[in-house]
Amino acid sequence: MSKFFHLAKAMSRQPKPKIKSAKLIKFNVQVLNSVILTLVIFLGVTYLVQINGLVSQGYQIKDLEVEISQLQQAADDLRLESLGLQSMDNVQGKISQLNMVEAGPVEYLQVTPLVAVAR
Amino acid sequence: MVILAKKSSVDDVIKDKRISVLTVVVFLFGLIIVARLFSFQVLQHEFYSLLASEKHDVYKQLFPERGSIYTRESESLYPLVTNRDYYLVYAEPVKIKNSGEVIDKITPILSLAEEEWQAILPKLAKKDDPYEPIKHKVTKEQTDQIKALGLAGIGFLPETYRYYPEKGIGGQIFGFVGFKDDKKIGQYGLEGYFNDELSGQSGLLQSVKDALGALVAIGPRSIRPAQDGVDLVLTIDRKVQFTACQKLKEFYEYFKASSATVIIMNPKTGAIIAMCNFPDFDPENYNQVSDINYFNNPAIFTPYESGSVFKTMTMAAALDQEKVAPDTTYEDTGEVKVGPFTIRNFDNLAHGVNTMTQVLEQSLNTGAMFAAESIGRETFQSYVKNFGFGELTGITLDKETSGDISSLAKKGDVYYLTASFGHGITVTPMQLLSAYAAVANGGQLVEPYIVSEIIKPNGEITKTQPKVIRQVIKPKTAALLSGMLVSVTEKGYDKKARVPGYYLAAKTGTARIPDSRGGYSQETNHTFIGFGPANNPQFVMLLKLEKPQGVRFASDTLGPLFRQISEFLLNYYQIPPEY
Repeated sequence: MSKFFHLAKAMSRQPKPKIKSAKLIKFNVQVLNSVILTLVIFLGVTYLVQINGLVSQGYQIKDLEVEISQLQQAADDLRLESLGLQSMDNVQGKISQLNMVEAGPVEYLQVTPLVAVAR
Repeated sequence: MVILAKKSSVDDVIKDKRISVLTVVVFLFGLIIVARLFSFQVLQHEFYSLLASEKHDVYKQLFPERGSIYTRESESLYPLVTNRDYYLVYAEPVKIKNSGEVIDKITPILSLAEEEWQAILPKLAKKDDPYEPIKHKVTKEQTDQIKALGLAGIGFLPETYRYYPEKGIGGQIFGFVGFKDDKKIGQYGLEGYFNDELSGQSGLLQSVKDALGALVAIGPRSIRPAQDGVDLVLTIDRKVQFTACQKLKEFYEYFKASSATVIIMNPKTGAIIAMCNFPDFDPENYNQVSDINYFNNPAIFTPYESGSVFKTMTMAAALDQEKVAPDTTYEDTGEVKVGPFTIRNFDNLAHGVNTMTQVLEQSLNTGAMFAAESIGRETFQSYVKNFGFGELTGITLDKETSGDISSLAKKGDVYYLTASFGHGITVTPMQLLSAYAAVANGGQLVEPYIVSEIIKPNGEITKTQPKVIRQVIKPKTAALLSGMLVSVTEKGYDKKARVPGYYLAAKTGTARIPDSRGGYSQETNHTFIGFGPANNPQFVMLLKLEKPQGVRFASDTLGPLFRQISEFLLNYYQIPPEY
């Protein structure tokens, strides 16, 4: 039995065949490369999608800014028109059309305070 | 086996050599590419960087909005001067095929005069001309009509102009915004005085643009925002200003005067309620004015010999020094000899014994000289200066002058005695009004001001506080003098200024205008200054007509105008009658 054990030990000490480890390394590198490539493609596409989205939103913002500017312009035009209508010159012109007359001198009334007379 | 083994090793050697050569070639090719890239990106980096920035970089000046000018009505602000957007219509002649057709279509829309379109037509025909302006200050409605025509080579640029919603309330207070060295600049009036504050500061935008010229939203952007100008709130009351200007215009036209002025002020604070002159100009069309002198505000710019209205100042000095009293009498012989000179009353008559009150009622030159002589030249000169004559009033309007009282420093008595009834020295209407305001305000001279608030773009408000310059005369003197001036209105030549139920203090002046050849001409300046109600003055008013035709005395030309405006003010301020 001891000879068998010696032989088994001697065989176990023999180096493992190189072909098996080379195949393992090759397999791991291939997997890593595949993973990296997939990641690159995925991130690239994601980047493109995001940038495209930002650019189209940028154009939307620009359109909204133009709309805001137009609305502000319209509001300003209305404000200026109302100013012209409120001007003294315009009001005076409307007075005669509305058959209004100038207010005459004001009469002021004296309000006498109540007086209590004691008996 | 040996032969086969040998043959395969030769093949392998040949294959190895080919691969090696290919490897070297690819490597060399790659090396060349790297070298070129290094040359472009590192060695010539600055050159290509500049080239790219010219195409893509944007540097835009951001223009600030010019501040507006308001008046306060209750809690709200009403703009008297604001900004309005217009358009510049321009042509790109390189893109225009038929210039005649373009002119035919745009002329009726833009209301181009014959000389205007005739001048533009040859310019539009130039095929190598990239740009020609056609018309400024075009409204949006007009540009929409032109756009609807779909004309090639016609473009529009937005531009901003000042807009004045109120017409006929005076342009000299505001001034105008003109161009100097292609830059907008305020000139005269408030626009000139507050030009830096109203202009604001421009900003800068740095960004990148795309192939169409639009800014890239996600690109780098650096903005220094523009700072808009401040807004001004005036002390002017819009309704009083309009009424005063309208009424002044009627009298200016009726008497065919060369010029006319009205100023109304709160005597206790110095706040200007109304200020108007004729001839006037429209600040929206300042380039159409026929005489550039119209830009100057006569109320602050034009000094003149005021005549009898100055007797009030003389009497104030004599009363304050207690050299005379309202009932102090003197003998009026109709003339006073001063060295080689003989000075007479306006009517060349002797009026006998008169009180100081009667001196004012009848506007006696001899009486004014009597009062001036009672205090002497130096004291008289001191009071004239204390009343603010010979110096700027400090009102925040452009182009104020200080008048000339230098003759008072001369040693001869004739100079100060002549000045005692308003001749030989020149004063501005604003100085006169301020002096009368001091009489109405218990003897305190206040600084006139027309801007009550300055509002910054961030909302911060700076309010003007009334400023007392000095106590010129004692309150008792002011009260006595006010009573004398009421007597002038009630009993004197100035009865036409009376408003029943109210005591108004006033004095007129009819002053002959100096002749350029020496002496005095027959033409006159009429002045009327008054305040009321006398026991608690709410307003002080100055009226002036230069060279009115057909009527000799100021009491006849300006007395009725003073009464009309005073009636309006008493009603407007709801001041109950005093009797």
